[in-house]
Amino acid sequence: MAKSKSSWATKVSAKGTVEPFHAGWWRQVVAIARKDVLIEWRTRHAVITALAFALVSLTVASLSVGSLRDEPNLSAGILWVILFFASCLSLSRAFTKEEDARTADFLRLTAEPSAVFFGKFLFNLLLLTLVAFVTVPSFLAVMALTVKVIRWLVVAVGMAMAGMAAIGTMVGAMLAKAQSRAPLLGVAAFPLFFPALAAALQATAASFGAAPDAKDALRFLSAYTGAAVLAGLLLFEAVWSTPER
Amino acid sequence: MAFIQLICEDLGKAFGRRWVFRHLSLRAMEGTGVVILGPNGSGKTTLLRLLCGLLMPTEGRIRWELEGETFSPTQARSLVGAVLPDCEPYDELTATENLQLVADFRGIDKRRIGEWLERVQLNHAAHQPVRTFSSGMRWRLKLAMALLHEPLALLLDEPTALLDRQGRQLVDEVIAEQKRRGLVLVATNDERDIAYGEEQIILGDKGIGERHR
Repeated sequence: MAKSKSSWATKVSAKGTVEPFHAGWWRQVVAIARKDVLIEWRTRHAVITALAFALVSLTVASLSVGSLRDEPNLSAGILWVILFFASCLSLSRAFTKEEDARTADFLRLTAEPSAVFFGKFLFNLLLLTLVAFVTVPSFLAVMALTVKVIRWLVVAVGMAMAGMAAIGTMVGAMLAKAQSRAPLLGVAAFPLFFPALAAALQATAASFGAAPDAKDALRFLSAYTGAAVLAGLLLFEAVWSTPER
Repeated sequence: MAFIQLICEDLGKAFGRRWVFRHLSLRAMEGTGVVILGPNGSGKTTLLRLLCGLLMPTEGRIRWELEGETFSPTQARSLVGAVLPDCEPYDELTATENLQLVADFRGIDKRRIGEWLERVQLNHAAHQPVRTFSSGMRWRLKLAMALLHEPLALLLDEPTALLDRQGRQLVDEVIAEQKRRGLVLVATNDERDIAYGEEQIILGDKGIGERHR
């Protein structure tokens, strides 16, 4: 008995400092991501909503503009409009479903805030990767586009999705208790997504042949994503764990 | 000096301009139980949410003390197990999966999950999704989730309202055990639950906490 109390004392004493990346922290991260994947697998709400939106908008775009083989800038723009809104639809669910099901307080009481952020970030990233994995090849096929440098497209989409997943996780947690939350995420997060979207757009257009080089845009995207994840790890506790007034 | 204790000084909580309660002071020591009594809307659940750092007091101060060290309610969350109305298990997961989640968050050996499922008499429903549970079964699962890490402080909201006779017996045992390990606070409007504590806090219509021993 006395031994277990001492171990609690040590654990609580250390709580004031942020200690991510220890074994217990990774166990929490994996548990949160696995729990969200399991729930999504059983309900499929976020995936179906995002993919349905992406495929419907893709169909409408292809009917209205036809082939965009000679319009690399326009095609990059349409692709990112579709990806942006499909992503917003998926990202908004990560925390709203916790509030709606009244499980958010369970997470607040039991898991470390930075682990909640990173677990939710990994789940969101997986979701956005799945959406991009279906949407981008379908877009290329429907619009009859040729990708000049496939590496640039893959890195641009991957990095932008990771940056959006990190920012979306933070903003999603902030908006989870607001009304009209799903549309609000797109509006509230757009100024934060904008630099990533602009760089991704430039790199995507370059991969379609609009510019000879995408290295600067890709470098910016890497820095943006790193900063977004770091900011999430550092700031999430203040957003998530502060008691309600 | 007591190993763990909870101290509330001149505590008050208001939502907007409406005070739920004011001037509430309380000291709960290790080995004791405190029963918070009051009609619906008197602030019993609000008080429990304040104690585990889910709400911020409008006035006054709450502190948890452990081996002479002081912690805010937010810092003390790992010491506390709470069964609260807004702290639900995941409906899409099974009872075992919900407990596994707690084990992962709290860094606990997963072998304890089976013991607790048996203890709360849910082993027959261990692999059923929680959405198929009755309200009593759901409450038993919440109790197991709160106690899996053997907390030093246990906060229970309406512990017997949804339970049958066997369930009440389980709560009796759990509370007696908790008093040996630390302290327990029970919010209730059932006067039969008074026996769970040596001290009562009565939250009344006037919004002022009164203490009785």
